[in-house]
Amino acid sequence: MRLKEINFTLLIWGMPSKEGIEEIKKNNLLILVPEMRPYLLGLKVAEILKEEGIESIYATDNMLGFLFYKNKIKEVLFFYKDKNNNHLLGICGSLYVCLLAKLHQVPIKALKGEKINFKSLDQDASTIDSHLFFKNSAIEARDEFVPMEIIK
Amino acid sequence: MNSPLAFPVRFKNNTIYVLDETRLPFEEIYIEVKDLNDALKVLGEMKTRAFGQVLLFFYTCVLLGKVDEVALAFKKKRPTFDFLHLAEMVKGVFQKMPDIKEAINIIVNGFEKKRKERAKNLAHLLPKSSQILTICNLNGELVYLYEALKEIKKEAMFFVSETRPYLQGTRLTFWELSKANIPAKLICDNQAAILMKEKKINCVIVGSDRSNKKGDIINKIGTYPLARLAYHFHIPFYVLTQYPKEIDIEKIEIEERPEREVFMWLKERDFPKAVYPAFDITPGRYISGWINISGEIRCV
Repeated sequence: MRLKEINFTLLIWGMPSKEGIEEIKKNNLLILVPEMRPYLLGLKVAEILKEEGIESIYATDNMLGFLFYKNKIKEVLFFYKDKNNNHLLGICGSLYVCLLAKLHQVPIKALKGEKINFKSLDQDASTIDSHLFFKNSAIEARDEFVPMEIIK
Repeated sequence: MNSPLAFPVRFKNNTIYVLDETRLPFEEIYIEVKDLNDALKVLGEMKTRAFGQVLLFFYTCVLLGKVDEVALAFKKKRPTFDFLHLAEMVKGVFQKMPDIKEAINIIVNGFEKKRKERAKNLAHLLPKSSQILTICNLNGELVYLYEALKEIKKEAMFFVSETRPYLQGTRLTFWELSKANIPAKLICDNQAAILMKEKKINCVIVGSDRSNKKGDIINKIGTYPLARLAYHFHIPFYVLTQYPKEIDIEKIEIEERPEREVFMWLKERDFPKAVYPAFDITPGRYISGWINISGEIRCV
């Protein structure tokens, strides 16, 4: 798909819950699903959405900056894992996505996500789809805290 | 120590030898280019890019004895890069030196010297203990930079953003740094923000495919978010530029690659639709310093 064919999208980050999928269905925007490295969670999310009859567009995580820059993202739906008073806990890359949204004045809606119960073969940047490039070469991928002030 | 990526394209006995970057890090093999069609195939399939495509352009001009025709054909294949400027450069030297091969040799040898000088100048700008984030690949310049930092008793550690979907960060930059025993760690592209927040990174260094005199650049997709985040966290962001011109960067065509390439390195399955802009635009206001090919530094 070419960029000029895309007007506005709803960016999905994290694993959508059942409630979240209903929320997505209500929306008229094109759904944008990033890759969500290292786990390639985006492939799983795109598959789940497809089963629910929702078509989506896929992009690698590093393309999101340009999509924000080009005003292609209208809203972010952030499915977090956990929360405390000041932070939401999300998968690896959550701060990257939420901060870029904030810096581009794109609203973020946070919803509790579904438990991620598939075992990804990739745990850091040393592998992709279990294809090993360099052993013991990567920074560990961890869940990330996103300050609540960014979401607001 | 020179990285094999510092000179990924060579010319010998009327044949161009192109290091097949898509096979790295598993195989170091060279593709033979004997005519314009071969050159365009190699270029279109991204067997070489960045400095490699500059060298490929120069040597294809030598092979064919033509400049403008090669520049137009190359530009059609990879529209974002400024091959027309390279053509002007070749014609400028060619006027003074009618042997095109000799003219090209002068340009290429000049580049090598300048790139090393530029690394030395950049080294002086960096912290004593540099924690450098980078993306894509700078064709051996980070190896030069590391040597230059060592010379002035500075330490360095590189954080290499994997650079999906082609994984140039992993396959090229991490590979060349490891080969030279330079400390480096791979990161997922989306880990940049958390590492900046945790102060694991104290500078960012990237290349640029295009730049203008205002300081705006076009570079590999994923560069812009790094600049935006670095600006937010007050981390200096340096760009290696070539020949900044008086152009409106927004008017330059951003190449979009075929969708199937987004799933590069993934096992075959039923893939969703995808987008693939190969480059992004970074406005100059998010950049802290520019170092051009002559080694001149401009900082804000």
